Amino acid sequence: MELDYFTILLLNIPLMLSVYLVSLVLTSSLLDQKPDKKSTLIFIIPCTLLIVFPASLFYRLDLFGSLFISLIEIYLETAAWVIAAKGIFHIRWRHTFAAAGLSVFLCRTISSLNGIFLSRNFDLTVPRDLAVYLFTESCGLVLPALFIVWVIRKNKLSEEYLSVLGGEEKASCWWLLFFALPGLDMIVVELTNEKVYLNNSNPIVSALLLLLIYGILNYTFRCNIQKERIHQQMISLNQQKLYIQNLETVQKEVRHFRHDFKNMMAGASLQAEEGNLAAVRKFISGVTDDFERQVGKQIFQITQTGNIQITELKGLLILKMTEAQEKKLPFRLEVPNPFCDPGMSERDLCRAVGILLDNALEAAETEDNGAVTAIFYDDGELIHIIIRNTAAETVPVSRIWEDGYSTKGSRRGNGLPSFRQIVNRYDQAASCTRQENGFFIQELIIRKTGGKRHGSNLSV
Amino acid sequence: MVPIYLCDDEPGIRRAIRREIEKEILISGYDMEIAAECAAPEDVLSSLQNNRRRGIYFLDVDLKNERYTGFTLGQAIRREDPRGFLIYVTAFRELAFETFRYQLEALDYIVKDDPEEMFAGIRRCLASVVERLQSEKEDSRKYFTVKFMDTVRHIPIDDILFFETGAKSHRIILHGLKERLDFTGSIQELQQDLGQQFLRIHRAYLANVNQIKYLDVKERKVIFSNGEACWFSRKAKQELLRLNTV
Repeated sequence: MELDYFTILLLNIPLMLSVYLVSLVLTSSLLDQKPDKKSTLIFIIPCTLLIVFPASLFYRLDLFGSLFISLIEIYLETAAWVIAAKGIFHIRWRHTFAAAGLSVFLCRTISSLNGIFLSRNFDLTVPRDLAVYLFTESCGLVLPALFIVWVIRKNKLSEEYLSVLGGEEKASCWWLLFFALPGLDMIVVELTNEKVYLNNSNPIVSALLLLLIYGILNYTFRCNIQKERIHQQMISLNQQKLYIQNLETVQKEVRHFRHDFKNMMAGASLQAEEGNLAAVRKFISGVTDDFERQVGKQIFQITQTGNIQITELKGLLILKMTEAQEKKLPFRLEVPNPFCDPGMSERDLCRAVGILLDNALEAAETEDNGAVTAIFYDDGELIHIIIRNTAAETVPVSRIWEDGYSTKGSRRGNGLPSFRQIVNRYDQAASCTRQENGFFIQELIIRKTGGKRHGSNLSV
Repeated sequence: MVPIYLCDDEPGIRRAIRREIEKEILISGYDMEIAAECAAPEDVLSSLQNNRRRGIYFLDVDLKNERYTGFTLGQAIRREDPRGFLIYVTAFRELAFETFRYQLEALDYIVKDDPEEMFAGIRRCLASVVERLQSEKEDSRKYFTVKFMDTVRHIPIDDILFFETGAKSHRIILHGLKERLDFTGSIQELQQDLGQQFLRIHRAYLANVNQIKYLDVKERKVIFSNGEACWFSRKAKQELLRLNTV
C-alpha cells in the first residue's frame, strides 16, 4: 500500500493528539499546576497542525534517516509545545522552555522504551503493521505516561524540578539543559546506534540518559536542600544574635534606670516629707513616663516578636525590622497572641509577607514621616496579616496589581503579581488592599483548615 | 442621646473618668449621657440587652475578670452594638492597639497613669465621636456592603470601578478607586442587585458605567477613570457605545 501525503497527514493526527495529551499531563504534573481548560482546547489545533504538516512531508520524502531533519522535527514538536504550554499554564518563558523540553524528552523516551517489545521495524506500507504502529504509538505512549505522572506525583518530583529551576527570582541555566534534552537524546542515540535503527530509537540508551538526568536533578536538588538548610541555620543564628542584643540593651537600660531611680526616690521622699503633693505626683508620672520610654517599647517589641512561633517568619520579621531601623523608619509589630499555625505553607507565607513588607518599607521610605505597622493576629478561626504604611499621596490601588506596573519606574513592581499567585493557590485565603486616612493598607486573611465555608454573602 | 458606658475595676479611675465626661458634656453641650458605670463586664453587657441605641464605651484593657479581657468584652459588645464607639483605657503606654483598631474598630485609647493626660484623652475621644456622627449624617452616599472573610466592609458604590470573576471559583475581585479586595459571591447576583449603574461588559466583568472614561474600540477595552482597563465583549459593544454618546 502506497501512502500519499494526505493519508499520512490524517494518520498522524491521532498520534499528535496523544502526544499533545501526554505532554499536557506531564507538564501539568511537573509544574504541579492545573491546566487552563479553555486554552488547552484552543491550542490543540494549531499545535497539532504545526507538527503534523512538516512531519508528514519529511516522512513522505523519506528524510527521517537524516539526523538533521530528525532534530528539526523534534524541535518543531518542542516549539509547538512551548507555545501551548505558555498559553495553557501562563508561566515564565524559561520555565516553559524547560517544561516543553522535558516533556518531549519524556515522550520520546517512553516511545523508545516501547522498542524493547519490538523485534523489527514496522513496515508502514503493510496495513497490519500500520495499525499496530498506530496503536503502540498512541496507547503505548499514554499508559506509561500516566505511570510517569503517578511517579512524579507520588514522589513529589515537581518540587525537585521546580527547586532546581530556581523559583522565580534566581537566574539559572538549568532550563537550557532541559530544553536541550530531546536533541541530546537524539544525538546520543545516533552516536551509539551505528546507524542501526530500530524504530528510530534505542531504548537502552534513552533509558540510561533518563536515569542520568534524573540522577543529576536529584543531586542538584539535594545540594539545594543542603544550602537551604545552612541558610536556615544562619537565619536562626542571626535571629538569636539580634534577640540577645535586644535583651542586652534592655538590661543596660534597666540598670541605668535603677541608678537614676534611686536618686530620684531620695528627692521624692524629701518632697513628701515637706508635704508637697503636687511635686510627688509629678515625680510619679515622670518616673512611669521615663520607664515606658526607655524600656517599655523594647520589652513590647520583644514580646511581640516572641509571639511569632514560626522560625522562618520570625527571621524575616527581625530582618525587616533591622532594615527599617537602618533606614530610620519607625516599625511597629503587633502580635497579641501566639502565632503558630498559618494555614498555608511556611515558605509561601514568608514570601507573601516579604512582598507586602518590602512594598510597605519602600513606600514609607519616600514619605516625610514614614512609618510601617505590621499586625499578625490569630483569632482561632482566621489568620489576619495586616501591613500598613503611611501614604500621603493617592496610590492607584487597583493598578499596582498589573504585571510590571510600579510607582518607581520600570523593572520593579513584580511583587504583587507573585503575591497574587501565592494567594490564588489557597482557596481559603483572601487579600485586600486599600487606602484610608493617609495609610496604605495591605491585608491577607487566611481561614485555618477546618473552618466553615461562606455561602453567598452579598447585601447592598 | 448617645449612651455612654464605663467599665473599669478600679473605682477611683472610674469616678475620675465619669466626672470628666460629665463636665465635658456640660461644657460642650454634647447630646450624651452616662448610661451605666460598672466594675464587672457582665453588667455592661446586661445593660445593653434592653438598650438598642448606638453607644460610647470606655473599657479597661486589663480587666481582672475570669471570663472577659478588655478585648473579648469589646467583641461581645460589637455583637450587640456593631456601630458603637469603643475607647480603651490602659495603664500601659505600649498596647497592641492597632490590633484593637482592626479587629474591633476601636476608636482610640487613653493612658491612665497621668490624670491630666487621661482627661485630655477623654475630651479628644468625645470630640472625635461627635465629629464622626456629624460626618456620617452628612454622608448621603450609597454603600455596597460586602463580607470580606469575617469582616463587613462598606464601600461607596460610586467608588467601585468594576467587579471581576477571580481565578478561584465563586471568587469576585472588586476593583475600586481606593481599594481592591476579593470575596465570595456570584457575578450574576451582583448584576441583579446593583441594577442599572452596573453593566455586564464581558462574561468576567461587571463595570460601573459612571466610572468609564472612554472606550478603546480597537483593543476592545474599557478604560476607567483611574486608567485601569478591562475587556468588553462584542455583545456589550452596542450598549457601551450608546452609553458613551449619551
